[in-house]
Amino acid sequence: MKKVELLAPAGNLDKLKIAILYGADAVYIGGKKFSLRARASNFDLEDIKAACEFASEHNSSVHVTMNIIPHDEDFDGLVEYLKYLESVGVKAIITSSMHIMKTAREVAPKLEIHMSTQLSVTNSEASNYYQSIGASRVVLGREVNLDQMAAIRQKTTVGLEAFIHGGMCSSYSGRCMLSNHFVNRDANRGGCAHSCRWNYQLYQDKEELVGDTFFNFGSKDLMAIKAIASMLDIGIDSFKIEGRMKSEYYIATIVRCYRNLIDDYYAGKDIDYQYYLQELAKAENRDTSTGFLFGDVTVNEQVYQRDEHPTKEFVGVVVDYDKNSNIATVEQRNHFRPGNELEFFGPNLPNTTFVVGEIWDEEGNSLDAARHPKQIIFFKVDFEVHKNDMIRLSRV
Amino acid sequence: MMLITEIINYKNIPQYDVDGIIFSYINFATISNKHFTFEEINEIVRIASDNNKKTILKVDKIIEENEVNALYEFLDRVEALDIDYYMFTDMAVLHYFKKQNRTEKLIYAAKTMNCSYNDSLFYQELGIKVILSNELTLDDLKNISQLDNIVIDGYGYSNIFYSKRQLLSLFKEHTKTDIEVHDKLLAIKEEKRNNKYSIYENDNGTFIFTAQKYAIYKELTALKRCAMFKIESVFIDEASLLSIIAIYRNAIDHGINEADFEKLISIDSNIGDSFLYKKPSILEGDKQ
Repeated sequence: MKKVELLAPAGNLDKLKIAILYGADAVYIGGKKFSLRARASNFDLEDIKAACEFASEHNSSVHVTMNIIPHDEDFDGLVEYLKYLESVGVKAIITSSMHIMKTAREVAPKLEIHMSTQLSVTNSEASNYYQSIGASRVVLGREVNLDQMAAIRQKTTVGLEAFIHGGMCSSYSGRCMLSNHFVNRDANRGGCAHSCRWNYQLYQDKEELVGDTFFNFGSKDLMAIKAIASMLDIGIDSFKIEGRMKSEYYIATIVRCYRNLIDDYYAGKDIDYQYYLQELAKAENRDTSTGFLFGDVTVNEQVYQRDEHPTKEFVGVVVDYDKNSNIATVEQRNHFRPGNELEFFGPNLPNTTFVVGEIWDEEGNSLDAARHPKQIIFFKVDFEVHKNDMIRLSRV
Repeated sequence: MMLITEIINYKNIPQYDVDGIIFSYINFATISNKHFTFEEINEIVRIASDNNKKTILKVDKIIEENEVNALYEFLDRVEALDIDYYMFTDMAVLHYFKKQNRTEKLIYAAKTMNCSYNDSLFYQELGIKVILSNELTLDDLKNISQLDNIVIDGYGYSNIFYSKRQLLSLFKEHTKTDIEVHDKLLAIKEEKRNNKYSIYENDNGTFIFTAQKYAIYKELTALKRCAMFKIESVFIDEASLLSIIAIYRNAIDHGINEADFEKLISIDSNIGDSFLYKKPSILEGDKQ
């Protein structure tokens, strides 16, 4: 049985390693050129090579986004870039440009071509068209529901990739120029200002409608936990998590959840949805919904008020663990103090709680709290933890 | 350069002094002043033929899987009418015509996706015309229009947002108000900005348009290589549309002149040049 690919985002090499260690079968990254998400700390050429090496060592693969809608000046260096990606072992490029696709086929034929969600592919005939010109995979538009996915699957042999988690455009992807016109930033070249999340007054002629209530039309983020089993049954080839700008903690939590859920499904286990929903909630700082997966969106899939609720549950990352002394070396991220109950989790560590005792800094000073992000600190943990295990606040 | 526009009243086709007329069928087109039935389309094609005008059917909706069969049956039907061009955005339409080796009948109208010479060249090699983005500079337009397949959407409100979501109806439900929002021309204004942008919801989704009409006029001379110049008629009344057509007809046939430009402004002074003379940035510090 062919298993689904879990495809995770990474904004830099550290995040890529976390994504792979926490269970991603493949990771998609952006280079310094040709990629949306201008604010993601995209990979330079050396990083891309290192990413491929790390992925290869861990039986994973790297996809590179080339998903801007290019202007003439954006094509500079395209051929060399594509050849480089092929030479360092990138598996696929994700593109929305016909010219990039065509050039890749000519100069870097080992690269798979995946058609970006920017193209809003929502039916089998469009999928078949892209396959006929050399695409091995299409990323389905987020407007496709489960019934439509199943029907598309029946009518095409091209690889199908579908989003399962993360941000959603309110518009069809690629069809929104609000940022261009409001703030002079090109949405289709990485400058999206998320104008759909702003406050608007609604008018009919000169009359303002709905009084003081602002018209908002942003979308809640996607969370497909309850659709995963159906999507596996349908035969979707790749499950994609959105969020190249998200933190390593977010990536670790989300990837691990979906990894475990998918593995549970393949193992024939009953899926404890409540557990997974609780797990995802520990990292998700925006309201989520199932988007279009179960049908047309309702008011429950829209954002009508500020929905961001920053979480400070993430408190640190394990850097090392001394099995003889039981001392964990930790890089701090958010405030915690002796007496707090912490929860450790990792690729091979189930959620394990622990009340932290004395904390020391690198000079051996005892601390009343860990309060400096990135500070290296030490404390005793009475079970084995590993490098890159994450620590979050369980209970204060 | 062919002058084309979308018609409002098909009985007035003889008065449209254009080379090609655009018309749409509700099920497969996004937004128009007027959609037509199949029988009306049949009549439109006849009248256009009698008046020596090319026919362009707008099928620019993003097609859902459950619509594909109906779309293809519709295309089979209208193809029998010998329509000259099809304005599309979904590759299901391209695939239909590719299978019949008739891609030269196509005009790719997903404007926001068409921003470069190279991508337009891809379509030219298939015989497909391409409507360029309205967010390009004049230099961009001049460079790309060295190709033979370029269509400029040169006058009218530009669609800058296309969503499948019924955003106004959902908002109405959320606020529990009794305002009419579906199939109504409304406007939105961002709380800290002054411009109002038209917003329209119909059964095919929600659409937002620019605050100003895009108006290429003085730049026409530099763009004379373009295959087609399109006047976008949405939200424009027919009398004004016919006056605008007359101005562009004269410009294309005899060159631009200041008096006609003044006339264009007198019809509607709320016009702008979009990004013709300023390029949108990516992000400061993040230029590629």
